[in-house]
Amino acid sequence: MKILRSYKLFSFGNRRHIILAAWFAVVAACGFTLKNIAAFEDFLSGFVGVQHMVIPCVLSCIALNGTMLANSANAGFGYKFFRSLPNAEKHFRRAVLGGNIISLLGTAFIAVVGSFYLESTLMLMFSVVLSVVFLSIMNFVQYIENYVVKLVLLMMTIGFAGGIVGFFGEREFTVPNAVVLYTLVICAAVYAVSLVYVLTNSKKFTGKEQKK
Amino acid sequence: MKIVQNSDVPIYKQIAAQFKEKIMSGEISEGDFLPSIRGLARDLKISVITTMKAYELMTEEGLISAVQGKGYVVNPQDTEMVREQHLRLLEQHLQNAMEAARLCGISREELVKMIDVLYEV
Amino acid sequence: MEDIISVSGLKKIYGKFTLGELNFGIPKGFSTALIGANGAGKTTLIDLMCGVIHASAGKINYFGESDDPDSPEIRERVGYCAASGFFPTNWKPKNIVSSFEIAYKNFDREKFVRICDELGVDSHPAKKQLPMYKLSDGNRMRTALAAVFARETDVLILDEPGSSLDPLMRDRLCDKFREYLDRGDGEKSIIFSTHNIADMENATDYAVFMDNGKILETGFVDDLKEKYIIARGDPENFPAAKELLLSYSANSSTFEGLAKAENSDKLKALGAVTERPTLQTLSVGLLKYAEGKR
Repeated sequence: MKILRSYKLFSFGNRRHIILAAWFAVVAACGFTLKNIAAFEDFLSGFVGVQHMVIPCVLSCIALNGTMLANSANAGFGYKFFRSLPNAEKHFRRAVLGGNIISLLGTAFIAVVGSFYLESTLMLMFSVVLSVVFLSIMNFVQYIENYVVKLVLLMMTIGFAGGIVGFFGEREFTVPNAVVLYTLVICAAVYAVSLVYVLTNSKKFTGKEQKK
Repeated sequence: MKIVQNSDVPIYKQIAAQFKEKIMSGEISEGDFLPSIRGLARDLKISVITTMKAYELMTEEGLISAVQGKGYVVNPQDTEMVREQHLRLLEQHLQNAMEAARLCGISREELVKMIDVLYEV
Repeated sequence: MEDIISVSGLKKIYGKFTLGELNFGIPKGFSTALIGANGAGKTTLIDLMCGVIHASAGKINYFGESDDPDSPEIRERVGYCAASGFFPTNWKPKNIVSSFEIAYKNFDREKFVRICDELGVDSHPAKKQLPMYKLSDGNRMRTALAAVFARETDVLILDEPGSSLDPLMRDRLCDKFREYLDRGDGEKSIIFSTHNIADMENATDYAVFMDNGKILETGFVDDLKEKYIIARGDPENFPAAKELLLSYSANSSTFEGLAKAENSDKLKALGAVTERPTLQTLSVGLLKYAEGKR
């Protein structure tokens, strides 16, 4: 409950969650239609598959966007307000944790729904992995004060993710299981490190460890 | 109470003078509480320190005294002193009247007569 | 007199700019103005007091009780409002309400609505809602002030609250200040920064003049007005009077300057006329003096 309240504190005033949910609903509807009614069609199945990769990534970005902006003095996101609150550091830590939880749960939900109509489990798995990669990046960039640097880093990750999707999309059925396993393990490890990093450095949010 | 903002007389002295007048004339009587420092500042739209200084001045003059946690109360006034002060005030006013009379050439008799007339009104 | 906030050995180093070392106290039960030119360090000082940034050295004591700017109990009692962009730009009044209810124990929703009415805020928590970025600076500031006033606090620390307000609103803000002080009956205090002091003069009890990261002068306004005088005189006497003036401006018709009150007689002997400064003329004189010394 406390986590949810703190999360809310940093993510007011946007309808992004709702828009994203609607977007996913459309994709899921397409997926079910494809599977049950319409004949297998290349373009639409490609569309549904790619959306399944994109939506979890966007979700991770949205979930941690508020706290990320609150860390940037130049983003116009009321960083003085957040820093001056009682228990500012705790709220921040909880909000980051909340963002991580929401994004992981959301991704899991998307994957479960997708498993009813997506034929390739590999695609499902990549959607989860990509979401985790994005989450890790979002965790790592939380304390970078310059907003532009954060954006550039995110853009680079999106490019990187696009590359992976393309790469595996080509060889979808030929990837050996060992590679899949390693990818999973590495991603999970990186993610764990990012989470520990972001949660243990919350002092940075309160400006205590600012550079001179 | 009326205050002149851009006067040579500091505002706190204006306030003290007006309270003093009210106390002397009996409009505020012994044992009455004055408005609170911050309340008066709010009403008069002036800063707190100004009213505080006015009350300090009056306290020094023995007109009022501070009661812990209650505010400022009007002291019993020494009637002899009050009378003396009134007399001094009267004298001053009469002097002003004489000054004015001299300026427009009114004689002493005429001035006394004027006072008599005014008394009868 | 008790101090609401006292600062000792406070220092903040920001690249080229250094604030401090500062040592001073702010008296309890009054409204205190931080006065200084742009870049004097007013905002830095306020940010330090509100825990937005942290000191490089030194201490700030709150209410004579705690030295910890991060203490939730202290923050609960401090009403802080930054100069601009205090709230995220996409927030609407209802978001402010929800966030204040999450973050503070002492926020009163009805009071917020009431004060928004009093201050004539366009985007109203009970009527139409507009995000911050669609509001004018004045409206944004009014919304933020209403939110801060709607909390039950012991001290208000406001950064440039009057700057973006029109004269009428500034007058109303002064009323709000006096109301707040009256309600506290000596227990509540206000600290605010400003660089146009004239409109706030009647809501200022104590002044802290700052220049280039240092404290220039502190004192109760009425005392300061007796400590200094404004002198004006004929240009031929200027060379002699110059020695007595802290800061001055002179031309071929007249000279004008700020001096210590004890030099009043000497200046009068030079044919100058003297008058009590207003807070405005005093500020200009003192800041000019500091600028000259720099």
